[in-house]
Amino acid sequence: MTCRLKSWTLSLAAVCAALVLAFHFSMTIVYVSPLNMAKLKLLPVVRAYMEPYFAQGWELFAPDPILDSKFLMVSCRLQREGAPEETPLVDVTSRLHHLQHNRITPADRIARAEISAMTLVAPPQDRLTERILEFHSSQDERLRRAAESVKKQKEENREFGFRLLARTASAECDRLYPERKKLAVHLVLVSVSPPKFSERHKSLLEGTKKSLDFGWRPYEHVAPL
Amino acid sequence: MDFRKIWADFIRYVTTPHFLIGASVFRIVAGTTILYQALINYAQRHFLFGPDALYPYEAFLARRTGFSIFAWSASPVYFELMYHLGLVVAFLWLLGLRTRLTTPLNYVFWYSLHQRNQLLWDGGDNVMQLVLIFAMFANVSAYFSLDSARRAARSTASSGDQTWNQLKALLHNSAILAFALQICIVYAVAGLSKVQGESWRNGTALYYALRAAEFYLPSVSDRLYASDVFLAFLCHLTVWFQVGFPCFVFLNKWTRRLAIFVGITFHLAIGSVMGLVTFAMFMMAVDLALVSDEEYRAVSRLFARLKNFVGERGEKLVRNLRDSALTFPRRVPVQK
Repeated sequence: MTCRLKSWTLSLAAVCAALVLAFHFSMTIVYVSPLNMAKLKLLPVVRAYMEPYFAQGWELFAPDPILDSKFLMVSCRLQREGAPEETPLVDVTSRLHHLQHNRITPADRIARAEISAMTLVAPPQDRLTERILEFHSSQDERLRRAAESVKKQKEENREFGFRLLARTASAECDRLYPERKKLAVHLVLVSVSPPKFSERHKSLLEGTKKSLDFGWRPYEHVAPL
Repeated sequence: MDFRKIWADFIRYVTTPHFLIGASVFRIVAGTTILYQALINYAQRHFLFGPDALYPYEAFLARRTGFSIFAWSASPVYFELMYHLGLVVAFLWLLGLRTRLTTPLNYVFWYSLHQRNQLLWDGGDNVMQLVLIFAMFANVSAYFSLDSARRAARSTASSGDQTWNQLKALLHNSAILAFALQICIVYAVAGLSKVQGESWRNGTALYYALRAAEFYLPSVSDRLYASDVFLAFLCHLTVWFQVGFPCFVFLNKWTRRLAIFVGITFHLAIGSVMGLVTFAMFMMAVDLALVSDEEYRAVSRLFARLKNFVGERGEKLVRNLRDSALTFPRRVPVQK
């Protein structure tokens, strides 16, 4: 290749590389920026490019870290002669947290699966979602449809979360009572808010507790835990 | 100002590969973490990823957002084959064998696993998902790899067309720049998001993070949040570091070194204190890619000097001990 042609080739390649990087990271910056008027206009184009392979979200413990610790309590309905037996409620989350004290453990991923399911069922408050849902009785049909769509999505996620928790509970019942036939599982979600900062010397269990009883769900076969 | 000369110097710089050692270190740290992730969950692989996993297979097919090789069949045999093949590919990538092929393959297997159960992942996994795409264009096997050993064993007479090598170097440098820009966006957005949080502003955020049962470490977390001054300092340092990271990285070599050092320290603490081991490892892998080749060589020379220093002192000590043992009387003579 002649010197001049080589020089042109390299220059062109450098310019192309710079343009590609500039384009990609401009899209990335718009994608991760907070919602605003400009982003709303560009969102369809940006999402079409960024999702799914460049999808990202960096609100890591932000704007405020998660405050509540969530625990799943499980009771199993076991088949036996006569009336089925219902076992006492057992906390299946704490043992995973204890195992996590040894940092080299698979318990963190299992616990994360459980906590993510709990978050689907009882999601944190989201101002934007709440604002959209307020439009369900709006005169504007577009806003009403948007509110309905968000409500439907929320309910679907919640139902999916219940199913995941039921599967978690089923796996835990299999672990606790391997020889017995399981008919149903009972789910109770306990949420503990830590003591406020000025009372940080108190134990976690002295914080505010809230429990949500989700009743009995059908048992589902899941691979062993 | 001679623009032609400036442009020629710029082209010469970008078509010479840089940060080759860092890219290889990235491969080793990220490869180790990917392998660790697959192996630590090995006994639970069916529960987490198999056809009868916690995340129902039909929901996975309906809700996945990207491709996944696990969507091609629900057969348990197929799952075992793909999971173990993924392990082999990750191991080969870690060893640095044919990385032009194993980097994209590693991405395919790893991304597929993530799609199979989307509830399990955190920010570190998200970073790696993005950075592995950039890594496909980088030379991640220039050092500490089977590829480099193979290249060294081959004849050095012909190393390919020069223009093609320069184009490859340009791609590699662009990939490393993409690493840097991506990690800057991660830190900047995380920092700016934190600024909006009251608990970060009033210095109590880390208390609430450490109090969460999943991040609490007995005897360590309590000591950390016992001191309100230390906690507030850490909160504000976190925010300053994250918001300032893009400036520190690109300002000059001293601020870049400081940013990388602080970043690695932070992530070591996050991994050990909060238990976010893979998150910390993935973030450190990317940070380590931003250390220049000269800096790695300087660190290597420092270690060599330390080793020699300790070696010489150790030899001298052993010699002195031996000499004093020879002159020390074996038996104290008895006074008559």
